[in-house]
Amino acid sequence: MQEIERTANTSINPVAALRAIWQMPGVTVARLMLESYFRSGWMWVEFVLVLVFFAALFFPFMENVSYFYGTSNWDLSAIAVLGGAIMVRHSTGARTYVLLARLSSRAAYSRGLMLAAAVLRVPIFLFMLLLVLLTHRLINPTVDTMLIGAIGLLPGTMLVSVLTVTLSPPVATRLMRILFLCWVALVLFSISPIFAVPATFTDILGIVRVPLWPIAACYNVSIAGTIGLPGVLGFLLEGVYVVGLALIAGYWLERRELLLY
Amino acid sequence: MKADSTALVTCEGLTKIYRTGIVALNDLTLAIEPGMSFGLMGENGAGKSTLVRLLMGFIFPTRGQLHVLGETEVRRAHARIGYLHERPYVELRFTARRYLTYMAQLSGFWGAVNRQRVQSVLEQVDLSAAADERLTTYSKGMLQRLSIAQTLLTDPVLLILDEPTNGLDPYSQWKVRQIIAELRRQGKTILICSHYLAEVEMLCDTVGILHHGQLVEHGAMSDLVHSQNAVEIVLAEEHIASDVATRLEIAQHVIEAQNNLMHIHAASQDSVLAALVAASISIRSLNPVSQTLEEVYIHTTRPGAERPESPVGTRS
Repeated sequence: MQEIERTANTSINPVAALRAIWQMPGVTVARLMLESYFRSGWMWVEFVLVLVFFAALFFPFMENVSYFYGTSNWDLSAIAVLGGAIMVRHSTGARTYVLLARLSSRAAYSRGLMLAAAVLRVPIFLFMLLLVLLTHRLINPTVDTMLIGAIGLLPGTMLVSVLTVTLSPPVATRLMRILFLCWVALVLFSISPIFAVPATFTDILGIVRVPLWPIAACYNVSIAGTIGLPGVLGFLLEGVYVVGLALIAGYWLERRELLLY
Repeated sequence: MKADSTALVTCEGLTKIYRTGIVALNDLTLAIEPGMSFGLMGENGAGKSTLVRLLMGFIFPTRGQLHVLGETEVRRAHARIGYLHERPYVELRFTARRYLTYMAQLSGFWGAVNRQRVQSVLEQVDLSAAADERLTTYSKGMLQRLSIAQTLLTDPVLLILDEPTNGLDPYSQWKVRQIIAELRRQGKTILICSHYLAEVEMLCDTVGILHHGQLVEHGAMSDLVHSQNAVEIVLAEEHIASDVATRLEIAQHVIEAQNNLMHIHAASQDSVLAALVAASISIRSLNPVSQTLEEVYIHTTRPGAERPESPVGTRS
């Protein structure tokens, strides 16, 4: 009898679970951000950028699926950086006080921003996909390669948008952004040194590229159209990155002095 | 003053020094009791906004202790605080109802409860007729009332209203004051930061004056406006106050005398009255001298400032 009761108590009602997720403060913040971003018109800037990239990189050529995903990984990531920065800028200011005054945790606010920025990657990608499919710019697109390519691309662009939010003010300080840029410079230097250094040094410096491995794995999945063990590990680690960034952003924001104007 | 444990807000030795070295608040101690309507006055840069940010947990004290609704980590008390920013920051592309619905959802109110709360606060601020209009069509006064509406969504214990009537036209100011007065009647504990002394005098029972980051005056409104410690005596019309003071040798007790009116130190009230009675000089009235909050403010923050000359008569 006790066993039956325990089973009944621990069974998960999917509708209730979805409602609980929908009603989480972070999700509400994300919905508010997205609606405000949409109504402000800034969201359309991202769609216009998709049109620009499409006109420059896809419309003049007939290319294969691999080219599409290889190129889209870069241009949609660039849009993710720009869109994420605009969204944070649009959403942050003295009016943030009014939202934070309703929340018992600032982390809910940063998570909401991240969620809004990440979710927007889906329609942006679908718009690009729609453009190339409607204009028949792809050679032999198949459902499976397109789907696997999307699975490889979307987590990467979402990660980029989450990272953008994490590094934006008021979440990160200027020092944190400088440190991140230093790391990017080291990564670029390790790939292509701009002055002669001993080979041993560049080998050792290669360690700074290790955090990029999951992104490279997902990138390979999107252009190859197949998922192997590295691809699965890459997805998992990208998920860990997103969760980690959400936690770090929440931690940082909780401890920041918020002087917003 | 020792902070009280029953108070909703207590600050003890609260100091805030910004990274730039600016001392925004210096050793501030105050308590806001339940049901109190506390007016915080001060000039720009006096530390009002800093105190509000500290009370809301947006920034952190450099030194001292702060308890809001029993919490040292103020964000835990946010659900019980209604906060009005000094400018009405709302989503202008939304309707009032849509905006309030989001705000209520952020506070955890969904479904029928959400709709009921939103409708209730819209009625409280007299905006229900315009609830479904875009906020771009709202006047500044209507936006401010909407901002007050969002502070009331959770039926908060404590309201922190930063410059609630700043920049509003006279009618909107009156409307907002009516709303605040009604909240006061309902027994809400209210902290009002304001430049408008008349507004504080009208809406608050307790006042604090911040000057250069220090609480230079603090107390019940009635005590402050009567704190001049003087008594006004109006003699019968045939008497000249200065002559009477000289004749009865009570001039040392007199602060001011003009025509048949004299201001004396409250402490010497008995001896002056005794002298007047002994000399059979009839008096028409005797009242404690009160000053306006503006006078209290100026005397407190500018001790050397001269009082404006009385338009009637000359001082002795």
